[in-house]
Amino acid sequence: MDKVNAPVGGHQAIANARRLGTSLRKKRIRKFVGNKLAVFGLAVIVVFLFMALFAPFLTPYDPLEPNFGQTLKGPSAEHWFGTDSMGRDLYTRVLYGARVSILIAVSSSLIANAIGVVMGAFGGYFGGWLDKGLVRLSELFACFPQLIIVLVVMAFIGPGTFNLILVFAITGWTGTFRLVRAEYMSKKEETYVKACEAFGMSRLKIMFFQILPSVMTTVIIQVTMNIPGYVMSEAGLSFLGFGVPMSTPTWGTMLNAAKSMKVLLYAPGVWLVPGCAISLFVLAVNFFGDGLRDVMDPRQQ
Amino acid sequence: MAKYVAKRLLLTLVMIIIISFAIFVALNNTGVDPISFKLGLDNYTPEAAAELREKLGLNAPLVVRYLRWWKDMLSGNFGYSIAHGYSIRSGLIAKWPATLEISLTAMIVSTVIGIGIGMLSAIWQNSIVDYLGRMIAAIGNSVPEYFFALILIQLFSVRLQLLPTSGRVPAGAVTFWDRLPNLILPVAALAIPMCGNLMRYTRNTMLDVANQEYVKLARSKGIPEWKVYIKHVFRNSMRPVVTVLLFRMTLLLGGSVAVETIFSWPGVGQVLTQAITASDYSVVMLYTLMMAVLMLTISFLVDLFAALLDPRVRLDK
Amino acid sequence: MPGDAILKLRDAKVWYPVTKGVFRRTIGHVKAVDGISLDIRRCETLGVVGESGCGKTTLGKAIMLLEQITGGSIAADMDGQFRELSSLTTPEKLRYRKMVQMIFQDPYAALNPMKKIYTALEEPLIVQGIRSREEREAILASAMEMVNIPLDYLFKYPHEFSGGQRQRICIARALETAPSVVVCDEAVSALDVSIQAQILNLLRQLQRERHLTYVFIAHDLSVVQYMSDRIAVMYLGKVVELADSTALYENPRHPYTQSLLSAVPLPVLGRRKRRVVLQGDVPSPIDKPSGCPFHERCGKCKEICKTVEPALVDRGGGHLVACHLED
Repeated sequence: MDKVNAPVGGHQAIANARRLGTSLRKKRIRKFVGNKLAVFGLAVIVVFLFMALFAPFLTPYDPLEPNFGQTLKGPSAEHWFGTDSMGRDLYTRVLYGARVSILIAVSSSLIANAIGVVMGAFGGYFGGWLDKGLVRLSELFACFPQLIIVLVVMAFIGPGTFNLILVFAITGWTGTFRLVRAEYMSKKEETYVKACEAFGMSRLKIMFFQILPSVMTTVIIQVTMNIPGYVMSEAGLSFLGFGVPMSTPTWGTMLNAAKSMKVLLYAPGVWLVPGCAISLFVLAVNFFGDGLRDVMDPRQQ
Repeated sequence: MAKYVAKRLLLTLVMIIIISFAIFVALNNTGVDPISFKLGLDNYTPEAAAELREKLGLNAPLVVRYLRWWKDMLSGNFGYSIAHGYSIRSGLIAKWPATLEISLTAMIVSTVIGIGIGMLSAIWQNSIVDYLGRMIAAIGNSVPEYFFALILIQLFSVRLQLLPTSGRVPAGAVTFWDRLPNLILPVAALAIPMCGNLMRYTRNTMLDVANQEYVKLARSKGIPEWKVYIKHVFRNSMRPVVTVLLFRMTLLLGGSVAVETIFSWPGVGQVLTQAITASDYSVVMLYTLMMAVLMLTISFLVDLFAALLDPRVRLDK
Repeated sequence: MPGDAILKLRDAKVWYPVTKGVFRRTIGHVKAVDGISLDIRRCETLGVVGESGCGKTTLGKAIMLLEQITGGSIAADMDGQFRELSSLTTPEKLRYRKMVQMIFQDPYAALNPMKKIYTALEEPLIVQGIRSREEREAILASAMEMVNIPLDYLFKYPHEFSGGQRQRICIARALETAPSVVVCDEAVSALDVSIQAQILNLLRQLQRERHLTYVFIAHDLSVVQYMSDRIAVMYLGKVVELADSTALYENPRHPYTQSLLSAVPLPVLGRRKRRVVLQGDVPSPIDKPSGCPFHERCGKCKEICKTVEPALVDRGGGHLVACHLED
């Protein structure tokens, strides 16, 4: 092999070039900041996360302790959003509810997308009977309303935070699977993939280090865009009484109070507060996700 | 085309067989022995149970029992609720019209409004209509239908006292106008959040199509703008819009479970929630089976329709 | 030694099965490469020409191990010993890949749009097991110098370069592992003509400096003539003529080569030539005609051409022709 000699100062020159090279991150941040709705979305998300994280420091009340002397009170100086039918402070419950609701949504979305990415990558890149089987399986899942599969499975395994995440994850991977699979199918024919094969890179390495980065933008957007759906599904299921146990404060279990006619008709604050929290959070994530989508595609720079 | 339809139909049937078999196996393993149930506590002896088992054909191989189960269902016998003993035919199947009434009405309403406003948004891009439409779409995407239902009740039933809070007037003796008030709120709760999605989708698809070269060509030939939209843009935008139909139907049926509970609407969704609360597995599984058959049928029809609209789908494979 | 064979192809075939129906019955084969025997000699440039679909790209991919051969053999001289590619172990394959590299047609598609040039150049070195970063950077700095791209550009994305620059980066990537054989698959056809000349000259210069062997696949006959020592003309997956570049251009002997060359515009004024225009289209490679694959379009077709397939035979002075007219 011809031994090559580095030109004088080669390392220094490379170090300099690294400093001056194109930074996509800076460009992206600049573009993102220009999108007002996206920035608004991000701000709301940050506020919610802050409130969820520091809930014990932001309120003197306990989210579970009933106080029967103070039931169904309207907003006041002590209780900013009023109290529920067991006299618990609604503001406190929204803070603590955010913890579980966001945790469920984010972890479900991450796990479901991870499953979707792995299945999509293997199906799309390797093809064959494995791919065919996975496609049929995803069609099977996709033709059911997700809420109903989740309901049925929850009927068998019973309510619970962990159960809910599990069911969301195993029913929610199909969308990501289809997108990732399609990207892998087209990307594996690209010349740069052939070039990597030509210099001897292993297939697994090509799959995860060459193709995956270009699929990642799609996946990050999918993870973000799936979160609102899980927030709403969690709330819907808990509202019906099949999500998390009623003793856990989430936005959904708070909404469940509206199943009582008295609360539904005469104490709208009790369900308006968690309902608005859900809607605001979902709206914020949607705006943020849209902004992210606009920014992330490198070919749009 | 015939080959495509045949292939698609075959696939649908295979899927139904797989799902129903899985459900049948699940039904057989619910942990509840139907024999002890049928005999009752007082009459239960192992001999009597064995005799009844033989008489009812429960000792036959699984596949035989599975086929017999289908034969029973096709002749109208769907079995019984484990928890309450009612026949599933009267307790569940008979509830479908109520559910389809609100979901199909919601489907039509949301389609008309969604596509309508979506189109106007695309034609008058960046006008007030467009901004309002996009705002409604953003909100519609963020407000879950059950929360929207609660707001509607509070607003129209409690505050304005215009519409009833719940219940359904059965079809029959009364006129449509007597039944309408009960229908408005559930349908609105389902349809309006749904509109947002479709509005956005219609708008984006139409804008995509409107920027295609062949549309520019049509314009450059001097065809009036409205004709360009009707003949070129609208037609070519409809296929993707029709294909989201299936997706929307699943969303509607999912959403109807909560909405039926809120409005005490006597549909299958309400039966389902009650059955789950009572661990009534036979009802839950049969509900699942019906849903599967329904969704697969719709999926088949949507594909068929898409193939009719777009010659390219017919040609590949 | 220069002139010795470095790659030996013996009756190499790449057939793709064509399936039909639910049970995927094989009803025939696409014979993309259908029995090619030739030697590629050390330090030469072997030009491969033919119409699109004649199998020249598949041939290149088979040499690169990007396509499995379904028959025959390809053997490579690895440390003085000919080894058949299908019998190589995984580490040996990696060594073979270091020895044989490829330059692709579209330099934009050949670079991952998500990765900076630095990463693109570093990856082959990592695969080849060069652990130390200093060593890798030394190699890639000299590779950049070799193709005349300033080091300042290392941390930019492919879309920030022009087509010619990108192709030079691809050349740097192919050559940094110091291969002996480079397969150039239409390496300049996606570039502007002025850039083409630049890249071709660079390739020739590198060949002289680094004693490279080129397999130069192209459909542009003047480019191939400029680059090649020997030229193989392919038709429907077969080599129909193989000769020294000058011999082939001055005295084409296969009717197909004659018609190809007659289509090249001549830069000499006043010299008229007779155009040989081909009739009909290239037959489908699935159901090839019997006998000589070219007989349906050949102006000089004889009775024997329709039934007996002519062999590629030396007709004197290393000029190989597969045609009954030569008998």
